[in-house]
Amino acid sequence: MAQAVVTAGPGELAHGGDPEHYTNTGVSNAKLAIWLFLSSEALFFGAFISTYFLYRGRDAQYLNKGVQNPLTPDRLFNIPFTSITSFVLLMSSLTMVLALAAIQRGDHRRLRIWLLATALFGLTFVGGQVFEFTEFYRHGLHLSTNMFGTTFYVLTGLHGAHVTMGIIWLLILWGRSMGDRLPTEKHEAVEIAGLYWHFVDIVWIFIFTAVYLIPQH
Amino acid sequence: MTDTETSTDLERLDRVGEIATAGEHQIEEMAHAHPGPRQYVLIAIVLCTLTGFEIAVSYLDTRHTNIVIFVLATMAALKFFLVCAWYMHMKMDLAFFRRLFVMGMLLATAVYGILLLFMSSTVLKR
Amino acid sequence: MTTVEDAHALVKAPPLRTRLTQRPRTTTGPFSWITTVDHKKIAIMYGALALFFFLVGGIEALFIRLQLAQPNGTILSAARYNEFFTMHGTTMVFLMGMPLAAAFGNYLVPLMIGARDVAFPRLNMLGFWIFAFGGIFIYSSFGLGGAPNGGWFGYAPLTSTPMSAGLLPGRGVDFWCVGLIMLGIGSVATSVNFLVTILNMRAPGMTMMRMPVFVWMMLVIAFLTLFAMPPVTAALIMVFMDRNFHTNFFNAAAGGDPLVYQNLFWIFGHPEVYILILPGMGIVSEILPVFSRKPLFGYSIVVFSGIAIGFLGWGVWAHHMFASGLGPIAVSAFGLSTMLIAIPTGVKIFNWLGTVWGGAVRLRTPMLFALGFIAQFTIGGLSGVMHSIVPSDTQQTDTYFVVAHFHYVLFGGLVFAIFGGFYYWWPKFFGKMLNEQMGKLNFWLLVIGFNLTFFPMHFLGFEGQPRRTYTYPSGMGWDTMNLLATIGAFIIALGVLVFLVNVIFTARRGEPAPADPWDARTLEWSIPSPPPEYNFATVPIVTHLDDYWHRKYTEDDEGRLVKLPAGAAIDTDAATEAAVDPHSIHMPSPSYWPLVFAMALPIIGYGFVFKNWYLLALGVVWGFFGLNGWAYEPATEPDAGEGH
Repeated sequence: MAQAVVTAGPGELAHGGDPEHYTNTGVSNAKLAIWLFLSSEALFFGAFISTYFLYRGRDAQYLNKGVQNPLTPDRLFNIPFTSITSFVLLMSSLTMVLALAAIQRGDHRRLRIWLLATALFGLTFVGGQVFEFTEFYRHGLHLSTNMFGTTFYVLTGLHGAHVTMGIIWLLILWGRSMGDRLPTEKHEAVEIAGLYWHFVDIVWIFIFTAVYLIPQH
Repeated sequence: MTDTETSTDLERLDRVGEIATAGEHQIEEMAHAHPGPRQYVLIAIVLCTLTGFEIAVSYLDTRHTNIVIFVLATMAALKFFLVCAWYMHMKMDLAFFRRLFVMGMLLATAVYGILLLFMSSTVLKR
Repeated sequence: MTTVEDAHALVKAPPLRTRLTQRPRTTTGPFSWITTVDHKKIAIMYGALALFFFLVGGIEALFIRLQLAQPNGTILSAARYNEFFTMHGTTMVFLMGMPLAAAFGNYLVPLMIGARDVAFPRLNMLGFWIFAFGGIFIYSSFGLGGAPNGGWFGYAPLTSTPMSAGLLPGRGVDFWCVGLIMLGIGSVATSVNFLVTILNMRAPGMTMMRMPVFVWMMLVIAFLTLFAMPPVTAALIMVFMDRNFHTNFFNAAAGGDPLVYQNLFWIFGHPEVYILILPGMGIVSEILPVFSRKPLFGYSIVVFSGIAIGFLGWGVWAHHMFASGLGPIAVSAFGLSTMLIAIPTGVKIFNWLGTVWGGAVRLRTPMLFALGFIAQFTIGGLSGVMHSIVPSDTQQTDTYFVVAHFHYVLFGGLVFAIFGGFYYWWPKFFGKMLNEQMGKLNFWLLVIGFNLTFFPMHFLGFEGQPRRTYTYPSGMGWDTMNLLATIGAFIIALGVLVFLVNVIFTARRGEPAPADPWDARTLEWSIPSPPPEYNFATVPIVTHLDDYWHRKYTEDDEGRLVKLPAGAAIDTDAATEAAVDPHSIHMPSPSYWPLVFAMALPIIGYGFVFKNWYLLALGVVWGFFGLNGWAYEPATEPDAGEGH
C-alpha cells in the first residue's frame, strides 16, 4: 500500500477517502507509527531515570565522602531558575497544540506564529539547560566527578538532545509553511510533530519532579 | 467474528461492511469538535498551577519525605495525564488506541518498578 | 482521484532536481535491488545477507570447536578466542537470527494479510541498509584494532573500564556498543513498520483472529523489539561513556554497580530470546497443518500462548543473574516466573502434536524440519526448566550445560524452523522447488551433526567445564566429549554445505513450482510463484481463518474434504489476472534515500569509536541531508505504476 502523502481535511475520512488507504484501526499509518516510536522512547528514558534513582545518594558513601564542599544536587541546583525554564517548556506544549488547531482550521498565519513560538520556547529551555550545565561545570561538576555528575548530565543531556531535534523539526515545518509548502491537507504532519513535542515535554515533567524536586535526603 | 464453514455472498458483503463501519467511525471522529483553543489554555493554566504547587511542596522542610514524594509523584502523574489526554488527543482517539497505550505503560512501569524495588532494597544497600 | 496527485498539484516541486538526483524508476535489473522498496526484494536481501552471516558465524564456531577439540589447544590464542566467541554470539543473534525473522516476515506478512506492501516501504529498505552497514561496521573492527571481545552480553565492568586500563585489548567493545546501537535503530524502525502493517493494512474480513499464526508471532515480536531495544541501548550508551568519557555508571569506586548493567542488559536480553524463537514457532505453526492436512489444533490457544509468552517474558530476566547475589526474595520470584513461562510454551508443543496426530502426514523436507524443531526445542525447553530451579541453576550457570540449553532452543529450534521455512517457501519466493533428496540429506546431516555437537555438552556442563574458556587441561574427563562435539560441528558444516549446493542446483536446474505446490492453507499460496510486484491482482475479501483452504475445499456431510471447482481459487486463474490491468495498480516508487541516509550511520559510528569529531559532524550533516531528501519525496510518484 502506498503511504498516504496527504491526509484529508476535517469531514473526510482520515485516509483521504480512498478505500486503498483504509486502515483497520481507523488511525492513519503515520500517527500509529509515531505513537509506537514514542512508546519505545518512553522505555529509553525510563532506563536512565531508573538508573538515576538507583544511584541517588550514593555519593555520600563514595566519592563525596570526606570532601569539604561536596558537589551535591541541593548545593548546585537553582530551583527558581529551573522552575522558570520548566514553565517555559510546559507552555510550549500549549503553543504547539494551538499551532495544530490553527492548521486544522486553515489559519496558516497563526500556524506559523504558534510554531515559531513553540520553537522559541524550546530554544529558551535548551538555553537554560546549557546555562545550567555551564554553571555546574564551573563549580567543578563533570561527567566523571561523582555519580550525580554522571547520571545527571547524561539523563538531562539526552533529554536536551531530544528537545533540540524537536526544535529543528518545528523550524523545518515553519520554513515549509513560510514557503507555502504546508497546506491544510497536511495537518497531520503538524500533529505528528506535536505528538513528539508533547512527549519530550512529558519526559521533562518526570525528570523535573524526580531529579530536581524530590528532597535530597 | 465467528468463523463459518461456508461463505455466502451475504457474508462477503458483511465483511466489506466492516470498511463502511470503520469509515463511518472515522467520519464521526473528525466531526467531533476537537477541544478548542479555549480548552487548551484552560489545561495550560491547570498545568501551571500544578507545577507551582509542586515547587512549593518541594520547598517544605519536613521529615515526612515519603509524603512529599507521594504528593510530587501524584502531581507529575496528573500533569502527564492532562498532556496525554488533551494535548496529545488521546481522550478523543479510539478506545483500541488507549488500551494499547495503557498496556504499554503498565508493562514499562512494572518492569522498571520491579527493577527499582529489588535493586534498591537488596543489592544497592550493600 | 488519488489524493497523491492532488497534493502534487498543491505542492511546489522541490528545487534542484538535476539528472543526478532524479528518482530511480526501474524495478527490474541488478541496480533496482539497491533502490527497491518492494518488500519481497527487501526480504530476499535480508535473507541472503543473514545467510552469509550465518556462514561467518558458523566458521567462527568451527574455529572454537577446533580449539576445544583437544585439551591445551593451540589453534586460537586466548585473546583471539575471546573475539571468536563474542563475535559468534553477536553474529548469530543480531546478524542471523533477527534478520532472518525480518526476511520471512517481510516477504510473508503482507501476503498473508492480503496487502500489497508494508506500511512504510522506504523505511523497510532503511531497515535492511542499517542491518548491512551495521554488520559491516562491527566486522570492520577485525582490521581496525581488534574485534569485540567482551562476550555477546558485554558485562560491565570488564567492558566498561577505559581502554587505557588494559583489561580488554583493543577498541572492539567500542565497535560493539556503537554497532549494536546502530542495529537497534534498524530493528526499531522495522518493528514499527510491521506493527503498523499488521494493525492497519489487513484485507477486508481479515480480522485479528483470522490471521495466520506466523503473522501473530511477528506482531508479538515487533512489540517485544520495540520495548526491549531501549533498555539495552541505554546500557550500551552507559558502557561506551564509561569507557570513553570516564562516567561512573559501573565504576565501583564511585558507587557504580555492575548489576545495574546486568539488569538493563537482561531486561532486553530475555525478551530478545523470545524475539528470536517466536518467528520460528510461527513457521512451524504454518508447516505442520499443511503437511498433516489438518488445521492447526487450537489456533486461538496457540495465538494466546504466543501473546502470553510475550508478556511473561518481561518478568523473568533476572534468571540470567541467579548467581550474582540478588538475594533470596528476588531469585525466588524470578525462579517462579520462569517456571510459569514454561506453561504457554508447553501448551504450544501440545497443540503442535495435536495438529499432527491423526493427520495424513507427508514427510517432506519442510515437515521433517518442523518435527525436528518440536523434538529438539522440547529438549532445550526441559533444560530451561532445570535452569529455573534456582539451586540447580547455581551449579549449571556458567557451565557448558547452559551452552547446551540455548543451542538446543536456538539451533535445534530456531535454525531448524528456518531451514523448514526455506524448503517450504522457496517455491513461492523463487518459483522453483528445492531438491527433495538433497533436502532430506540436509536434514539428516543437521540432525546428526547438531545432536552430536550439543548433547554431550549437557554432560560436560555437569562435569564442570566452564563457559568462555579458551582451553582446558587434560585429565578432567572432558576430552572425549569435546572431540565428539567438534566432529558434530563439522557434520553440521557438511549439512549446511548440502543446503548451499541445493540452492545453486535449484537455481540452475530446479523444478519450476506452481502457485500452490504443497496444497496449502494461507493466502500467499493463492498468487503466482514468484508473486508479481503488486502481490494481489484484486485485494482478497477474507471470510475464514485459513481462507485460501476454504476457497479450495469444503466438507461434505460426513466431514470429508470436497474440492471446490477451480473458479473458487483467486488469482491463480489466468483469466482473473488478465481481467485486472496491472498498470492500474500504483505501487510505491523506488528510492535512493534510504541508502543515502543509512550511510550516515557508520560514518557517525566511526566518528564515535575513533573520537573523530569531524567525522561525526560529517555523518550528522549527511544524515540530515538524507532525511531531508527523503521527507520531500512522495512515497509514490504521480506517474508511477506505468510500465512495470
